[in-house]
Amino acid sequence: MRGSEAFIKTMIKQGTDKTFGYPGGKLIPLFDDYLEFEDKINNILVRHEQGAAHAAEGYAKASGKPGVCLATSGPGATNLVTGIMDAQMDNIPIIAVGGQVATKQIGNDAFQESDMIGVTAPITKHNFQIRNAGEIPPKVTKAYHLCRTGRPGPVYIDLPSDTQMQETNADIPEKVNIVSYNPQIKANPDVIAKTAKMLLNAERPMILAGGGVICAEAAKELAELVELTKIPVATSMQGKGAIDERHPLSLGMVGMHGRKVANYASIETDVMFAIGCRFSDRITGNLDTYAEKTKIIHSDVDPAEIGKNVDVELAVVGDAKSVLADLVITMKHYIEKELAGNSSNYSEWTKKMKQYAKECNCNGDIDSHPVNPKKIIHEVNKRLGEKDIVATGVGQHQMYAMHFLRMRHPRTFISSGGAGTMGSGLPFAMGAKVAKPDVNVFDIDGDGSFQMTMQELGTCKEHNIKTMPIIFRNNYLGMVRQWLELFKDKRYSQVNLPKKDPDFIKIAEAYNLKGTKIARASEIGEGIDNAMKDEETHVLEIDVEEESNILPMLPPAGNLKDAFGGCMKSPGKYF
Amino acid sequence: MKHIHIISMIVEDNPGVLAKVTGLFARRNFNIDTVTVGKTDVESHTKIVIVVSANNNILEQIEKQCNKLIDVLEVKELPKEDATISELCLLKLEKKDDAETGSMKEIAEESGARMIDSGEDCILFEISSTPDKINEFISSMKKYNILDISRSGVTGIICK
Repeated sequence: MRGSEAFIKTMIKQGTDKTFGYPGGKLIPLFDDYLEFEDKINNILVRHEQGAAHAAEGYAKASGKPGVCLATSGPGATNLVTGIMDAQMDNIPIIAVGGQVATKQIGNDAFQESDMIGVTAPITKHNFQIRNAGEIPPKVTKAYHLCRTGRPGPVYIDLPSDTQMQETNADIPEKVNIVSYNPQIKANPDVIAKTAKMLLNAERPMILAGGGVICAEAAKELAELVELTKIPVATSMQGKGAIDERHPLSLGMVGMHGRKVANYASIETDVMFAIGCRFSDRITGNLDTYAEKTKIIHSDVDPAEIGKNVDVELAVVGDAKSVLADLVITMKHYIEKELAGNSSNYSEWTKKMKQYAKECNCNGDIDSHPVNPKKIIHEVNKRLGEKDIVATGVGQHQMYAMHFLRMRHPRTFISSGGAGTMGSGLPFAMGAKVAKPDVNVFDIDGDGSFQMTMQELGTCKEHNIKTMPIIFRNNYLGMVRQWLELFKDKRYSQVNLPKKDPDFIKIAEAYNLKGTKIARASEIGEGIDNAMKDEETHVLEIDVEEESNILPMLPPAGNLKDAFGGCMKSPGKYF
Repeated sequence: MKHIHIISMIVEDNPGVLAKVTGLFARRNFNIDTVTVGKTDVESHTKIVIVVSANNNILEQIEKQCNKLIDVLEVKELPKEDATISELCLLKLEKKDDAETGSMKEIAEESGARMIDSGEDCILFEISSTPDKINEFISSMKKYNILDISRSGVTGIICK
């Protein structure tokens, strides 16, 4: 068989049945061989390679399986770069494949040649170029293994056209062994014991669950820990959904636009157990004052994260599922032995935090005109099925979604965190729907973000991928405008978008899809219902208050205690 | 407090590995003083020795981040007290007259350097020693006209 066939067979063996890709000269052999395997694997032809990369991310986030995107050499592959970088920042397992010029042309500025190994080295977990067809099965198998194990991440494969055409008899392996790569799964039992003791002896403990808990499929173990210990739990953005946000001990998200109860807990806690979280600057604010009064127990599968941003009292290296399971067993034992039916040291704290979590709940049912963005989230929350998925673009609309949506399960909230990539919303939703065709998939988007990748409406139409983009139209690049209002006295520069252009409903109709324009709060519920009833992708364009601000907010590199706005009584006064 | 640290790593001899390692240092803002790269006793392995100037926190991050690179097999610090550190230096000087050449050779011999070549207008010395001793040798030759210096950077091994 030739190299491209070996590539496809390896992908199939690894469980891939859908890819997102766009052809070109240097991918002709590969897509030619796709025609032989139509019963086993299908490519979804996108309209821009960036759409393919984000769709692969959305697919991976929703399913837990590696997403695959394919592009031709040169500009095709470079169009994948933003999505690859996004996947690296948020630890999303994707395989990005780029066609490449023939090996003897490499390095000669050939037509559509680009040094993708050089370009993607800083933004991938690993990358390699395959120059020999016989190496395709082991290297592609290695790529899958790397992308989905340990700390997940993107792997880029450069595939020269002559390698695709070369004949090989190589076997397709089941798995590979990588000498230098052995992520630690089980944590040291002494460290687990110390963690258990520290938490039980704390007066104001909290758990901070990050995206790693979801990557490790550890939501069940986290819930068990919370039920057993009654320790309140907050999440980072990527951890949203790791715990049911309607649980009485769920504090919601921490950080720059986080819920005040979660940030309050971060300030007051004496022992914080952070798991699968990397302490991004969006959640710590000023590192000099972050968690000043707190002993941090940091658990992560990647030892390089521990001690990178914050000083740590105790390091627990291991896979989140294994760590949480071990911790539950250990804590059960201590609770029975040492508490023996008495209440914990921190029962007052738990009671207080439950009370605050209840109070920290804005009523989003606001009927004002122009539309308050909270109203849209309120109407979505009402209709969200337990397993329904919400993807978002990047900007104010994203922060409204992040702050006010209540997600109940992992893999239901897909939002670009570390990279903050505008335009990721629609293709994320597209990929998620391909992975989970039986749930509703919403895309909370902005007029700025949506325009960056709206050509993927064409992909949604052609492949019957039903998504529901809800565009918060405020005629501004809202988040930047907010910063200019709050920190630069409204010295607006480069943040205005035209009031009538484009008409997003006409854009939907140009793709033979339907859309609904909404200008009043009372129309929103019905609009969403119509979108849900539509069998195809349905675009909602909702005019919202142009200069609304998403608050509360931490000033950039600010101290957590200086958060302001929203329902905070006054800056720094949490309750 | 920033100190000089010597990091020795074994990497797989794959295309682009050196670029990946130095790229990592560049984007994480780790300051490279010198780099040496060469073969080891294992054919598919390459040894890279990097001298960095960093405090202890940064050093820990350097080791951990390097370990994350899939092509990197092993990373360790070579503690200056335990490791034998060596560097090669080629020093080119202007040749004036026999008397001066003679004094140069005397100084060289004291430092453990040797004259390895000479042309019409230049003399070439080679010294292989610790970086400090090389610095001393260069200082002692400054009174003559130094035309060019080429230093290899540091490599090292522990042999106790």
